[in-house]
Amino acid sequence: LQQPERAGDRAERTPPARAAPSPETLMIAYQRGDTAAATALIRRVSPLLYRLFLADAASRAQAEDLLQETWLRIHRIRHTYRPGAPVMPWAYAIARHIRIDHYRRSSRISAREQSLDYEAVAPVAEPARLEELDALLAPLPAAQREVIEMLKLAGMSLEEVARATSSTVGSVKQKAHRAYRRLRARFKGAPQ
Amino acid sequence: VIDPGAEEALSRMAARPLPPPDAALLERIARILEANVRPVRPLPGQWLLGAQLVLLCATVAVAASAWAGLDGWRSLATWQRLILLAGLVPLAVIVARECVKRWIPGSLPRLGPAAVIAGSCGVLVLLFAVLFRDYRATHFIASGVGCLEQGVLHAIPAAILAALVLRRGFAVRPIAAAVTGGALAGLAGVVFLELHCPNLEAPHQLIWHTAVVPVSALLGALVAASLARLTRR
Repeated sequence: LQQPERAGDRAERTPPARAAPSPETLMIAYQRGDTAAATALIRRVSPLLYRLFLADAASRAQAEDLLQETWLRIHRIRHTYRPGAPVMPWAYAIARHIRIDHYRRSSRISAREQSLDYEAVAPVAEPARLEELDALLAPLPAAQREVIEMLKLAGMSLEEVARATSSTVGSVKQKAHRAYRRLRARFKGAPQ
Repeated sequence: VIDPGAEEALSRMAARPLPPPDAALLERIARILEANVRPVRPLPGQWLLGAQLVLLCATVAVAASAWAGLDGWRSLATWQRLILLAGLVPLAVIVARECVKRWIPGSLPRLGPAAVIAGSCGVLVLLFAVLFRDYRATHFIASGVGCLEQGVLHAIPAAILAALVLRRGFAVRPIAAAVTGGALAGLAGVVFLELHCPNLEAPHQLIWHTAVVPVSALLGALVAASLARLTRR
Protein backbone atom coordinates (compact mmCIF):
# COMPACT_ATOMS: atom_id res chain seq x y z
CA LEU A 1 0.00 0.00 0.00
CA GLN A 2 2.90 2.31 0.63
CA GLN A 3 4.52 1.57 -2.71
CA PRO A 4 2.79 4.37 -4.67
CA GLU A 5 3.94 6.91 -2.06
CA ARG A 6 7.53 5.77 -2.39
CA ALA A 7 7.23 5.97 -6.15
CA GLY A 8 5.89 9.49 -5.77
CA ASP A 9 8.78 10.38 -3.49
CA ARG A 10 11.23 9.02 -6.04
CA ALA A 11 9.55 11.08 -8.73
CA GLU A 12 9.93 14.21 -6.61
CA ARG A 13 13.60 13.48 -6.09
CA THR A 14 14.20 13.06 -9.81
CA PRO A 15 16.91 15.55 -10.76
CA PRO A 16 15.65 18.42 -12.92
CA ALA A 17 18.17 17.52 -15.64
CA ARG A 18 15.97 14.56 -16.56
CA ALA A 19 12.87 16.71 -16.95
CA ALA A 20 11.66 17.43 -20.48
CA PRO A 21 13.62 20.34 -21.96
CA SER A 22 11.81 23.66 -21.99
CA PRO A 23 10.59 25.16 -25.29
CA GLU A 24 13.35 27.78 -24.89
CA THR A 25 16.06 25.07 -24.73
CA LEU A 26 14.52 23.30 -27.73
CA MET A 27 14.35 26.54 -29.68
CA ILE A 28 18.02 27.32 -29.09
CA ALA A 29 18.94 23.79 -30.20
CA TYR A 30 16.69 24.22 -33.25
CA GLN A 31 18.54 27.42 -34.14
CA ARG A 32 21.79 25.46 -33.89
CA GLY A 33 20.50 22.95 -36.42
CA ASP A 34 19.33 20.15 -34.10
CA THR A 35 16.70 18.17 -36.02
CA ALA A 36 15.45 16.25 -32.98
CA ALA A 37 14.91 19.51 -31.11
CA ALA A 38 12.88 20.85 -34.04
CA THR A 39 10.63 17.80 -33.96
CA ALA A 40 10.25 18.00 -30.18
CA LEU A 41 9.43 21.68 -30.40
CA ILE A 42 6.76 21.02 -33.04
CA ARG A 43 5.15 18.41 -30.76
CA ARG A 44 5.33 20.72 -27.74
CA VAL A 45 4.13 23.99 -29.25
CA SER A 46 1.67 22.85 -31.93
CA PRO A 47 -1.25 21.97 -29.58
CA LEU A 48 -1.12 25.50 -28.12
CA LEU A 49 -1.01 27.18 -31.53
CA TYR A 50 -3.72 24.84 -32.82
CA ARG A 51 -5.94 25.85 -29.93
CA LEU A 52 -5.51 29.48 -30.93
CA PHE A 53 -6.46 28.74 -34.54
CA LEU A 54 -9.33 26.43 -33.65
CA ALA A 55 -11.04 29.14 -31.59
CA ASP A 56 -11.55 31.25 -34.72
CA ALA A 57 -11.23 28.91 -37.70
CA ALA A 58 -14.25 27.96 -39.78
CA SER A 59 -13.16 24.34 -39.89
CA ARG A 60 -10.60 21.97 -38.46
CA ALA A 61 -8.95 21.71 -41.88
CA GLN A 62 -8.50 25.48 -41.94
CA ALA A 63 -6.94 25.43 -38.46
CA GLU A 64 -4.54 22.72 -39.64
CA ASP A 65 -3.63 24.73 -42.73
CA LEU A 66 -2.88 27.74 -40.56
CA LEU A 67 -0.79 25.60 -38.22
CA GLN A 68 1.28 24.27 -41.10
CA GLU A 69 1.70 27.75 -42.57
CA THR A 70 2.79 29.04 -39.18
CA TRP A 71 5.48 26.37 -38.84
CA LEU A 72 6.82 27.14 -42.30
CA ARG A 73 7.05 30.81 -41.32
CA ILE A 74 8.60 29.98 -37.95
CA HIS A 75 11.20 27.91 -39.76
CA ARG A 76 12.00 30.74 -42.16
CA ILE A 77 12.41 33.36 -39.46
CA ARG A 78 13.71 31.19 -36.62
CA HIS A 79 16.74 33.46 -36.36
CA THR A 80 14.46 36.22 -35.00
CA TYR A 81 14.08 34.30 -31.74
CA ARG A 82 16.57 35.71 -29.26
CA PRO A 83 17.97 33.23 -26.70
CA GLY A 84 16.69 34.08 -23.24
CA ALA A 85 13.32 35.37 -24.42
CA PRO A 86 10.16 33.27 -23.87
CA VAL A 87 9.30 31.11 -26.89
CA MET A 88 5.52 31.08 -26.63
CA PRO A 89 4.84 34.82 -27.09
CA TRP A 90 7.27 34.75 -30.03
CA ALA A 91 5.44 31.81 -31.62
CA TYR A 92 2.01 33.30 -30.83
CA ALA A 93 3.05 36.60 -32.43
CA ILE A 94 3.96 34.80 -35.66
CA ALA A 95 0.80 32.65 -35.53
CA ARG A 96 -1.33 35.73 -35.00
CA HIS A 97 0.28 37.41 -37.99
CA ILE A 98 -0.43 34.35 -40.14
CA ARG A 99 -4.04 34.25 -38.93
CA ILE A 100 -4.67 37.94 -39.66
CA ASP A 101 -2.98 37.65 -43.04
CA HIS A 102 -5.08 34.61 -43.88
CA TYR A 103 -8.36 36.30 -42.94
CA ARG A 104 -7.50 39.43 -44.90
CA ARG A 105 -6.62 37.36 -47.94
CA SER A 106 -9.68 35.14 -47.67
CA SER A 107 -12.05 38.06 -47.09
CA ARG A 108 -10.58 39.70 -50.18
CA ILE A 109 -11.13 36.54 -52.20
CA SER A 110 -14.64 35.95 -50.85
CA ALA A 111 -15.57 39.53 -51.69
CA ARG A 112 -14.66 38.86 -55.31
CA GLU A 113 -16.09 35.39 -55.67
CA GLN A 114 -19.64 34.15 -55.49
CA SER A 115 -20.35 31.49 -52.88
CA LEU A 116 -20.01 27.96 -54.18
CA ASP A 117 -22.63 25.66 -52.73
CA TYR A 118 -20.79 22.48 -53.57
CA GLU A 119 -17.73 23.51 -51.59
CA ALA A 120 -18.55 21.67 -48.41
CA VAL A 121 -16.67 22.71 -45.29
CA ALA A 122 -15.56 20.02 -42.88
CA PRO A 123 -17.23 20.39 -39.50
CA VAL A 124 -15.23 21.74 -36.59
CA ALA A 125 -14.10 19.09 -34.13
CA GLU A 126 -16.08 20.25 -31.14
CA PRO A 127 -18.95 22.36 -32.38
CA ALA A 128 -20.63 22.58 -28.99
CA ARG A 129 -17.64 24.16 -27.31
CA LEU A 130 -16.91 26.53 -30.12
CA GLU A 131 -20.56 27.53 -30.47
CA GLU A 132 -20.68 28.23 -26.76
CA LEU A 133 -17.49 30.26 -27.05
CA ASP A 134 -18.87 32.14 -30.04
CA ALA A 135 -22.10 32.88 -28.21
CA LEU A 136 -20.28 34.13 -25.13
CA LEU A 137 -17.74 36.28 -26.95
CA ALA A 138 -20.04 37.39 -29.77
CA PRO A 139 -20.55 40.95 -28.51
CA LEU A 140 -16.82 41.59 -28.38
CA PRO A 141 -14.85 43.20 -31.22
CA ALA A 142 -12.09 40.99 -32.68
CA ALA A 143 -9.25 42.68 -30.77
CA GLN A 144 -11.00 42.33 -27.40
CA ARG A 145 -12.05 38.78 -28.15
CA GLU A 146 -8.46 37.86 -28.96
CA VAL A 147 -7.22 39.30 -25.67
CA ILE A 148 -9.88 37.42 -23.67
CA GLU A 149 -9.07 34.16 -25.49
CA MET A 150 -5.38 34.53 -24.69
CA LEU A 151 -5.88 35.64 -21.09
CA LYS A 152 -8.70 33.35 -20.04
CA LEU A 153 -8.57 30.37 -22.37
CA ALA A 154 -4.84 30.08 -23.13
CA GLY A 155 -3.95 31.20 -19.58
CA MET A 156 -1.36 33.75 -20.70
CA SER A 157 -0.23 36.66 -18.54
CA LEU A 158 -0.77 40.31 -19.50
CA GLU A 159 2.87 40.65 -20.51
CA GLU A 160 2.75 37.49 -22.63
CA VAL A 161 -0.39 38.74 -24.40
CA ALA A 162 1.32 42.09 -25.00
CA ARG A 163 4.34 40.34 -26.48
CA ALA A 164 2.16 38.05 -28.62
CA THR A 165 0.03 40.90 -29.95
CA SER A 166 3.01 43.24 -30.29
CA SER A 167 1.24 45.88 -28.23
CA THR A 168 1.85 47.52 -24.88
CA VAL A 169 0.73 46.05 -21.56
CA GLY A 170 -1.44 49.15 -21.07
CA SER A 171 -3.22 48.53 -24.35
CA VAL A 172 -3.89 44.87 -23.40
CA LYS A 173 -5.26 45.94 -20.01
CA GLN A 174 -7.51 48.47 -21.68
CA LYS A 175 -8.87 45.92 -24.17
CA ALA A 176 -9.42 43.36 -21.40
CA HIS A 177 -11.19 45.95 -19.24
CA ARG A 178 -13.51 46.94 -22.09
CA ALA A 179 -14.20 43.29 -22.90
CA TYR A 180 -15.04 42.53 -19.26
CA ARG A 181 -17.38 45.52 -19.17
CA ARG A 182 -19.20 44.29 -22.26
CA LEU A 183 -19.39 40.73 -20.95
CA ARG A 184 -20.69 41.96 -17.59
CA ALA A 185 -23.33 44.03 -19.34
CA ARG A 186 -24.30 41.06 -21.45
CA PHE A 187 -24.58 38.72 -18.48
CA LYS A 188 -26.67 41.25 -16.57
CA GLY A 189 -28.91 41.72 -19.60
CA ALA A 190 -28.13 45.41 -19.86
CA PRO A 191 -28.32 47.03 -23.29
CA GLN A 192 -24.99 47.20 -25.18
CA VAL B 1 -13.96 42.65 -11.92
CA ILE B 2 -15.52 40.36 -14.47
CA ASP B 3 -19.06 39.10 -13.93
CA PRO B 4 -19.06 35.79 -12.00
CA GLY B 5 -21.29 34.21 -14.64
CA ALA B 6 -18.95 35.13 -17.49
CA GLU B 7 -15.93 34.14 -15.43
CA GLU B 8 -17.44 30.74 -14.71
CA ALA B 9 -18.37 30.15 -18.35
CA LEU B 10 -14.86 31.09 -19.51
CA SER B 11 -13.22 28.90 -16.87
CA ARG B 12 -15.48 26.01 -17.83
CA MET B 13 -14.49 26.39 -21.48
CA ALA B 14 -10.81 26.74 -20.67
CA ALA B 15 -10.94 23.54 -18.62
CA ARG B 16 -12.55 21.55 -21.42
CA PRO B 17 -9.83 20.05 -23.60
CA LEU B 18 -9.77 20.79 -27.30
CA PRO B 19 -8.75 18.03 -29.68
CA PRO B 20 -5.01 17.95 -30.38
CA PRO B 21 -3.79 18.52 -33.93
CA ASP B 22 -3.67 15.50 -36.17
CA ALA B 23 -0.53 13.44 -35.43
CA ALA B 24 -0.03 12.81 -39.17
CA LEU B 25 -0.03 16.57 -39.75
CA LEU B 26 2.65 17.09 -37.10
CA GLU B 27 4.71 14.31 -38.67
CA ARG B 28 4.37 15.96 -42.05
CA ILE B 29 5.41 19.36 -40.70
CA ALA B 30 8.38 17.78 -38.90
CA ARG B 31 9.47 16.02 -42.10
CA ILE B 32 9.27 19.25 -44.12
CA LEU B 33 11.28 21.17 -41.55
CA GLU B 34 13.83 18.43 -40.89
CA ALA B 35 14.84 18.49 -44.53
CA ASN B 36 15.96 22.10 -44.17
CA VAL B 37 17.24 22.41 -40.61
CA ARG B 38 20.54 24.28 -40.70
CA PRO B 39 22.22 26.37 -38.02
CA VAL B 40 21.17 30.01 -38.09
CA ARG B 41 22.69 33.06 -36.47
CA PRO B 42 20.21 34.69 -34.08
CA LEU B 43 19.56 38.40 -34.39
CA PRO B 44 21.95 40.59 -32.41
CA GLY B 45 20.74 42.16 -29.18
CA GLN B 46 18.18 44.94 -29.26
CA TRP B 47 20.67 47.47 -27.87
CA LEU B 48 23.15 46.73 -30.69
CA LEU B 49 20.53 47.10 -33.41
CA GLY B 50 19.24 50.25 -31.72
CA ALA B 51 22.76 51.73 -31.53
CA GLN B 52 23.28 50.94 -35.22
CA LEU B 53 20.05 52.76 -36.09
CA VAL B 54 20.96 55.84 -34.03
CA LEU B 55 24.46 55.99 -35.57
CA LEU B 56 23.04 55.53 -39.03
CA CYS B 57 20.50 58.34 -38.64
CA ALA B 58 23.17 60.63 -37.17
CA THR B 59 25.53 59.81 -40.04
CA VAL B 60 22.89 60.53 -42.68
CA ALA B 61 21.96 63.85 -41.03
CA VAL B 62 25.55 65.00 -40.45
CA ALA B 63 26.78 63.92 -43.89
CA ALA B 64 23.86 65.60 -45.67
CA SER B 65 24.17 68.83 -43.69
CA ALA B 66 27.96 68.89 -44.13
CA TRP B 67 27.35 68.71 -47.86
CA ALA B 68 24.50 71.26 -47.84
CA GLY B 69 26.14 73.61 -45.32
CA LEU B 70 26.14 73.76 -41.52
CA ASP B 71 24.50 77.20 -41.41
CA GLY B 72 22.01 76.25 -38.71
CA TRP B 73 24.64 74.78 -36.38
CA ARG B 74 26.86 77.86 -36.83
CA SER B 75 24.04 80.24 -35.93
CA LEU B 76 23.31 78.43 -32.65
CA ALA B 77 24.91 79.50 -29.36
CA THR B 78 26.86 76.90 -27.39
CA TRP B 79 24.10 76.49 -24.79
CA GLN B 80 21.58 75.96 -27.58
CA ARG B 81 23.78 73.30 -29.17
CA LEU B 82 24.15 71.49 -25.85
CA ILE B 83 20.42 71.55 -25.09
CA LEU B 84 19.63 70.42 -28.63
CA LEU B 85 21.98 67.44 -28.34
CA ALA B 86 20.76 66.63 -24.82
CA GLY B 87 17.18 66.49 -26.14
CA LEU B 88 17.63 64.85 -29.53
CA VAL B 89 20.05 62.04 -28.62
CA PRO B 90 17.88 60.40 -25.87
CA LEU B 91 14.78 60.85 -28.05
CA ALA B 92 16.51 59.09 -30.97
CA VAL B 93 17.67 56.29 -28.64
CA ILE B 94 14.13 55.71 -27.32
CA VAL B 95 12.54 55.77 -30.77
CA ALA B 96 15.27 53.49 -32.20
CA ARG B 97 14.68 51.01 -29.38
CA GLU B 98 10.94 50.97 -30.05
CA CYS B 99 11.66 50.58 -33.76
CA VAL B 100 13.86 47.53 -33.14
CA LYS B 101 11.20 45.96 -30.93
CA ARG B 102 8.70 46.24 -33.77
CA TRP B 103 10.98 44.08 -35.94
CA ILE B 104 11.46 41.25 -33.44
CA PRO B 105 8.39 39.03 -32.89
CA GLY B 106 7.47 38.55 -29.24
CA SER B 107 9.17 41.76 -28.09
CA LEU B 108 7.45 43.93 -25.54
CA PRO B 109 6.95 47.44 -26.91
CA ARG B 110 6.69 50.18 -24.29
CA LEU B 111 5.05 52.70 -26.63
CA GLY B 112 2.42 52.31 -29.30
CA PRO B 113 3.01 53.90 -32.73
CA ALA B 114 0.73 56.87 -31.89
CA ALA B 115 2.57 57.42 -28.61
CA VAL B 116 5.93 57.39 -30.46
CA ILE B 117 4.74 60.14 -32.82
CA ALA B 118 3.01 62.18 -30.10
CA GLY B 119 5.95 61.79 -27.72
CA SER B 120 8.51 62.76 -30.37
CA CYS B 121 6.50 65.82 -31.41
CA GLY B 122 5.99 66.77 -27.76
CA VAL B 123 9.71 66.57 -26.98
CA LEU B 124 10.60 68.55 -30.12
CA VAL B 125 8.01 71.27 -29.38
CA LEU B 126 9.30 71.56 -25.80
CA LEU B 127 12.90 71.68 -27.00
CA PHE B 128 12.24 74.33 -29.65
CA ALA B 129 10.10 76.39 -27.27
CA VAL B 130 13.03 76.47 -24.82
CA LEU B 131 15.68 77.16 -27.47
CA PHE B 132 14.07 79.74 -29.73
CA ARG B 133 12.43 82.93 -28.49
CA ASP B 134 12.12 84.92 -31.70
CA TYR B 135 8.40 84.82 -32.43
CA ARG B 136 8.47 86.57 -35.79
CA ALA B 137 7.18 84.55 -38.73
CA THR B 138 8.95 85.85 -41.80
CA HIS B 139 8.03 83.99 -45.01
CA PHE B 140 6.35 81.45 -42.76
CA ILE B 141 4.74 79.28 -45.43
CA ALA B 142 7.36 79.60 -48.19
CA SER B 143 10.40 78.84 -46.04
CA GLY B 144 8.47 76.33 -43.94
CA VAL B 145 7.32 74.17 -46.85
CA GLY B 146 10.88 74.14 -48.18
CA CYS B 147 12.22 72.96 -44.81
CA LEU B 148 9.52 70.29 -44.47
CA GLU B 149 10.34 69.04 -47.95
CA GLN B 150 14.09 68.98 -47.22
CA GLY B 151 13.55 67.20 -43.90
CA VAL B 152 11.34 64.50 -45.41
CA LEU B 153 13.69 64.06 -48.40
CA HIS B 154 16.59 63.45 -46.02
CA ALA B 155 14.46 61.07 -43.96
CA ILE B 156 14.08 58.78 -46.99
CA PRO B 157 17.73 57.60 -47.19
CA ALA B 158 17.73 57.17 -43.40
CA ALA B 159 14.61 55.00 -43.67
CA ILE B 160 16.11 52.91 -46.48
CA LEU B 161 19.34 52.34 -44.55
CA ALA B 162 17.37 51.51 -41.38
CA ALA B 163 15.40 48.92 -43.36
CA LEU B 164 18.73 47.40 -44.45
CA VAL B 165 19.91 47.18 -40.82
CA LEU B 166 16.63 45.50 -39.83
CA ARG B 167 16.34 43.32 -42.95
CA ARG B 168 16.74 40.07 -40.95
CA GLY B 169 13.93 41.03 -38.59
CA PHE B 170 10.25 40.30 -39.08
CA ALA B 171 7.48 42.78 -38.35
CA VAL B 172 4.33 41.05 -37.16
CA ARG B 173 2.53 44.41 -37.35
CA PRO B 174 4.06 45.94 -40.48
CA ILE B 175 2.21 49.26 -40.34
CA ALA B 176 3.11 49.88 -36.68
CA ALA B 177 6.72 48.99 -37.53
CA ALA B 178 6.72 51.33 -40.51
CA VAL B 179 5.22 54.20 -38.49
CA THR B 180 7.91 53.82 -35.81
CA GLY B 181 10.64 53.50 -38.45
CA GLY B 182 9.25 56.53 -40.27
CA ALA B 183 9.32 58.54 -37.03
CA LEU B 184 12.98 57.58 -36.49
CA ALA B 185 13.87 58.52 -40.06
CA GLY B 186 11.94 61.76 -39.52
CA LEU B 187 14.17 62.50 -36.53
CA ALA B 188 17.17 62.14 -38.86
CA GLY B 189 15.45 64.74 -41.07
CA VAL B 190 14.95 67.04 -38.05
CA VAL B 191 18.63 66.73 -37.09
CA PHE B 192 19.57 67.61 -40.67
CA LEU B 193 17.36 70.72 -40.50
CA GLU B 194 18.79 71.80 -37.14
CA LEU B 195 22.28 71.56 -38.57
CA HIS B 196 21.44 73.15 -41.91
CA CYS B 197 18.54 75.61 -41.51
CA PRO B 198 19.64 79.08 -40.31
CA ASN B 199 16.03 80.20 -39.64
CA LEU B 200 15.84 80.41 -35.83
CA GLU B 201 12.31 81.82 -35.62
CA ALA B 202 10.25 79.88 -33.09
CA PRO B 203 7.07 79.43 -35.21
CA HIS B 204 9.17 78.07 -38.08
CA GLN B 205 10.97 75.59 -35.85
CA LEU B 206 7.88 74.62 -33.83
CA ILE B 207 5.64 73.95 -36.82
CA TRP B 208 7.72 73.02 -39.84
CA HIS B 209 10.71 71.27 -38.31
CA THR B 210 8.50 69.29 -35.91
CA ALA B 211 6.14 68.34 -38.75
CA VAL B 212 8.90 66.27 -40.39
CA VAL B 213 8.38 63.48 -37.83
CA PRO B 214 4.61 62.88 -38.31
CA VAL B 215 4.86 63.36 -42.09
CA SER B 216 7.68 60.77 -42.32
CA ALA B 217 5.72 58.38 -40.08
CA LEU B 218 2.65 58.80 -42.27
CA LEU B 219 4.71 58.13 -45.40
CA GLY B 220 6.11 55.00 -43.71
CA ALA B 221 2.57 53.80 -42.97
CA LEU B 222 1.48 54.43 -46.57
CA VAL B 223 4.47 52.52 -47.97
CA ALA B 224 3.87 49.57 -45.59
CA ALA B 225 0.15 49.46 -46.40
CA SER B 226 0.88 49.51 -50.14
CA LEU B 227 3.49 46.76 -49.84
CA ALA B 228 1.13 44.64 -47.73
CA ARG B 229 -1.61 45.02 -50.33
CA LEU B 230 0.78 44.08 -53.13
CA THR B 231 2.10 40.96 -51.36
CA ARG B 232 -1.43 39.79 -50.51
CA ARG B 233 -2.44 39.78 -54.19
